[in-house]
Amino acid sequence: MSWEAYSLDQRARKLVTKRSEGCLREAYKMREAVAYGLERFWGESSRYRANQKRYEEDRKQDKANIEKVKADYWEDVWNVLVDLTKEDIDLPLHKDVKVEEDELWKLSRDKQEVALAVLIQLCDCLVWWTQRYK
Amino acid sequence: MADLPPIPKMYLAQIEGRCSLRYASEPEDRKQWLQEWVDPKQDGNPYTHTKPILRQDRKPDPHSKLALRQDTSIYCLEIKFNGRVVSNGGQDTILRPVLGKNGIPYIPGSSIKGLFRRACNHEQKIRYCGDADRPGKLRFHGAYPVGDWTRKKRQPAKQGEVPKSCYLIEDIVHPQQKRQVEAQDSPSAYALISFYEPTMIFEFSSAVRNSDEENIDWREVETILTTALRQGLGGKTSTGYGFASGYIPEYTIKDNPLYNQALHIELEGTGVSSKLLSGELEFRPNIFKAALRGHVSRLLAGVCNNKNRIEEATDDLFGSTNAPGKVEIYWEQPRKVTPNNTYHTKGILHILAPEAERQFVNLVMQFAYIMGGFGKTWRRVSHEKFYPSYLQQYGKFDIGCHWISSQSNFITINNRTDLGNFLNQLYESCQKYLAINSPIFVRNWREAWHSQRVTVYSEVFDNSQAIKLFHQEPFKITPAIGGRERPGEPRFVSSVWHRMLPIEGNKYLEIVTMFHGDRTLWRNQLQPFIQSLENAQLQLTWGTRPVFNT
Repeated sequence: MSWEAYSLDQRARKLVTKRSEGCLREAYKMREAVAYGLERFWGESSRYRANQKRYEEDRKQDKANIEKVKADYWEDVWNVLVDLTKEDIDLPLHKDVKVEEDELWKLSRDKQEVALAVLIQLCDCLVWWTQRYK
Repeated sequence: MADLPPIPKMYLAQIEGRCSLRYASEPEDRKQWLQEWVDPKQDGNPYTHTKPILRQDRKPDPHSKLALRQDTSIYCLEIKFNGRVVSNGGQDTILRPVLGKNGIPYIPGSSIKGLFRRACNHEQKIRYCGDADRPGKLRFHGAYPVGDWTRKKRQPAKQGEVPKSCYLIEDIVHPQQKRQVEAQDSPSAYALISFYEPTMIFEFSSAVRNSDEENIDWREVETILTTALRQGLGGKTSTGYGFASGYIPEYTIKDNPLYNQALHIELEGTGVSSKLLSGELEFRPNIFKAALRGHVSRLLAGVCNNKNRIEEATDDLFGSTNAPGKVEIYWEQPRKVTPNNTYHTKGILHILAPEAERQFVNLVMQFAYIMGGFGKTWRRVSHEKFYPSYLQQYGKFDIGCHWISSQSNFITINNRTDLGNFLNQLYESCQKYLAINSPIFVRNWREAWHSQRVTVYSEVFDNSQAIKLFHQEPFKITPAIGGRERPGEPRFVSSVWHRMLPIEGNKYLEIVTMFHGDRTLWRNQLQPFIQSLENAQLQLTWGTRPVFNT
């Protein structure tokens, strides 16, 4: 694979500036979660989304909103990753992942590693910009 | 997927159907996750840290416990924790510490630096931790547990079964507030991972070398660290987690200025032991905070019908996920409690709070002590003490608690009138605390403390007159009284509190408190129950005798 800079820094900056203050700290968690692979990273958005629904059912809209913002952030980052690597890896968009079919694990080891390497770098950039804007 | 090796639980999405770790009642995923994590080679020998060898000749001074490691220029301090230590290591559905090399949990250097910094004066802060312009002179390497951090324990085998083992790091939180105070709700318990009585090594090194004037005063570093540890390490410190033996909070120490800003209450209690997920029994000091928090909610719900305001006031005192509370609590017990089905403990409860809050919390604490007790089944009197023949009948002693205070000035209640006066004073204090002139209670809460919803009966006796009532048909299977609908496991939280309050002359003020806002739970047994109490000579002390149509 030839060198591709992916404009990670600009993408990360866009992601960070788009977010509300309430979820900026997610960037650090993302950087940590990357170590556990693609599925775990993908799953965090879904986990927050499930929390959001639970709070909505309990009519705790304030708490539901907080979970929603976090879920959106993780989802956005995932989708940026998909877009960044689309030339090399056929990663599905967040809403299209069929996790129950182990879809992400069926990717070749190389592709998983490349995707994760890009994701790690993206998260590092997110953390950097978060520290600037916080 | 036949062609894929099984994926460890740790790498799966933490969602329903993939890897759900949080709910205590769904143990399968968690069991596998724990097993894969703590014993990755599946050979029964988890990775552990061994104690470093220390150079005894390189201590900062003879009394210091800080010593240089033999192999490196790192200073170590070994600290033993008597209870549990919990820290949150990030993005998981389960609360667990940060994982270090080989998956061994540890407390990161940055956390230790944060803790250390809080105990520094301005000059020390800059010298050791640095500021925006200069780096600090100290490197914080973090703290790690030595020995078996999983606290694997072999459980005695039941007849005909293979012996099992469990990990004592598998902890449980069991929030009861909603279920007990607000509405009949499913009792969700959550799992978390906390170190159980760990021995931890704290490590530091110098960030500057070869310059005499830059030398670090290691004795001072040790003093700052040990002072910092008095605030507790990690989270949930106000419920008794994270206190190192030998470094108890400042407000518990008599000659410390903070001592006068805290309440100090001598207590002795016996009650039903808490159970871990593995079935192991444990005495858990968080029973005090849980009792206070619940009581503050139900008391405020009796004067204010704005649920958000009650929640805010309770969070302000006891903390929430957004911010720590103003109240800090430490249970000091000289001897370790070895829990059986019941525990016996004796100690001093220290409660630190700002002046205005302290007065209110003191009243709530007295209320908790007078009206019920602390811990599991706090609504019932100890059957071991007040109904000894229950043992012969049922062969077990797992109902109730009994708390006494040897401190003469803690409460001054000796009869029904004293109790009535105390409850009136408390009700007024609740209004003052929320600055409310005309109290309105929360209508749909099961235990809002208002005289129209609650009735207190009491009288002075030598022994309990009411205890057997709870075991009479049909009271024992009435949800509001016995907490059950049929013989067997309780499913409901009882709406009745029963207390034998020790008073002067070796007598007791027997107190029965009834919440009757939701009559459906009473199944027409409220009137007969009150009649039985009156027949037993107990008298209306606070609240209103409910009106019956028949």
